[in-house]
Amino acid sequence: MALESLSAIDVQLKKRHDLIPNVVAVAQIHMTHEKALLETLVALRQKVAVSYDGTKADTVVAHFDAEAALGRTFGALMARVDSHPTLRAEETLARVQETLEEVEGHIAAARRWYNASARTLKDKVEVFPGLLLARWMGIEALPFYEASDDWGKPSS
Amino acid sequence: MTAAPGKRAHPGPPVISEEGEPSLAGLNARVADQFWPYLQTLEKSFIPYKKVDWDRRYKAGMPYILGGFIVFILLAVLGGPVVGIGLLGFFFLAVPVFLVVALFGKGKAPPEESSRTLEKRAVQRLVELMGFTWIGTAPSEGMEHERRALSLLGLMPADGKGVQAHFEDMMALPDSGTDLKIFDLIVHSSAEARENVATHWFRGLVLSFDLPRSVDGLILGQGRRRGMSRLVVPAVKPDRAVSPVILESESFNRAFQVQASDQVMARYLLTPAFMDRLIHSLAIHAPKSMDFCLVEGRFLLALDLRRECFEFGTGATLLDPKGTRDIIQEVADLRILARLMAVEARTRI
Repeated sequence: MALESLSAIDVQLKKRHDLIPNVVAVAQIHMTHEKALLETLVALRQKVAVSYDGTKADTVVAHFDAEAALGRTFGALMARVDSHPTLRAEETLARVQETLEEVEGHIAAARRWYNASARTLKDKVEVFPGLLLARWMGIEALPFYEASDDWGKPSS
Repeated sequence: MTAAPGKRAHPGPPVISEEGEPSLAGLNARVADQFWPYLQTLEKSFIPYKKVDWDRRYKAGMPYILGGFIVFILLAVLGGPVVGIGLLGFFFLAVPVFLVVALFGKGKAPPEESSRTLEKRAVQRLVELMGFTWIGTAPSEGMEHERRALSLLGLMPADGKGVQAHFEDMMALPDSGTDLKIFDLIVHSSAEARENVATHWFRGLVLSFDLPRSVDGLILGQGRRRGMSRLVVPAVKPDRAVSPVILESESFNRAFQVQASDQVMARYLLTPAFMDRLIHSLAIHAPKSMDFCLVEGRFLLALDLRRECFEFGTGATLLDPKGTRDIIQEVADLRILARLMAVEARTRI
């Protein structure tokens, strides 16, 4: 169940990642001076797209950390976009914001499912007799996925 | 608050829980200022169903006694032994028929306008004060979504056979953008249909509306039944694969069995605030059952209250404070649920 919910989170996160190229494509035209930021964003997107072992807590933590880093960078880009008069009027970016809000709702729902499953798993692998079985089979408790409400939002 | 004429104390405005529902703000004042005076006007010509309309019965019996008397006079004019026959006919035929009609005849409705019509006018006024458009009996077309959702919840068979279903007293918000409807539902299943339904006799309120954005998936939430019927497992056989949804709230899981085709979508809709509100509604109305269903982007909630909510004139008077208060509370609560889900769908985090 925990793996199923983790993959549900990834499905929703991918929808969010798919919005990045649209923003980058528009920003590249008007914000040539932000080339470094855009390159970092693209690199981070590629990093989170790499498959990982969902059964290992440390790889899941690393994945969530990479996701948070991507969110912070995307937020920084959106802050610059928001202060750019030409870009702010771009229809594409308005659509991205709208879609982002919808995707955020789905991510929140997936996160609730995942965290509930992670809690159940944690209870089972840390309490006898599940503790013994989990150690023998190498099953680990998975980390909770913390909400990052400022994902893609300009920092104030 | 306006004082009612005569001995009857004015029932006063109903108390509703507004809980941030802007369209219901000020409803209490409007009911006091407009509804009670209007109801008092209607009350003058209202004769409750159980109260005999002696005037009407007397008038219905009069032709018999007048006819008998005229026949007797005609026979008396002829003279001879027929006078006795006329007298016997009058006393042993015309008078008994008059007495039977006057005492046991039909006379439970006012002569000019039926009590039911008056009652519906009262409900219509109340509904309009609450900001809804009154539709009355639902048209047979346009209820396909509701029928489908009700069949998925096991409240009526999918083919509709073997049940009598009435969609009455419908109120709507046509300009809300969500096609919101609230109506009285009465479903009675015949013996052959009872294997396919979760309840044989449903009487209560139904809320139905479109979600603000297109939502794919099937979500079924069945409230645990109260009383003996809680032992009966609802006979729901959805046509799509669904799996149980265990939510974070223990009290919600105790109150509802939720199944969904998409676990994420179920949690997208059943936010903590919405779950709390459903539990709150259960506590307020104490229904026999409370079920909800999301199918094809339309949400339906069925509240089995074991009574027809808009038949509040079946008592002795139209000025029924409890009936009015119940209607307002139930409608207000359903409206809050709908609004909460619409708001949550836009702002959930």
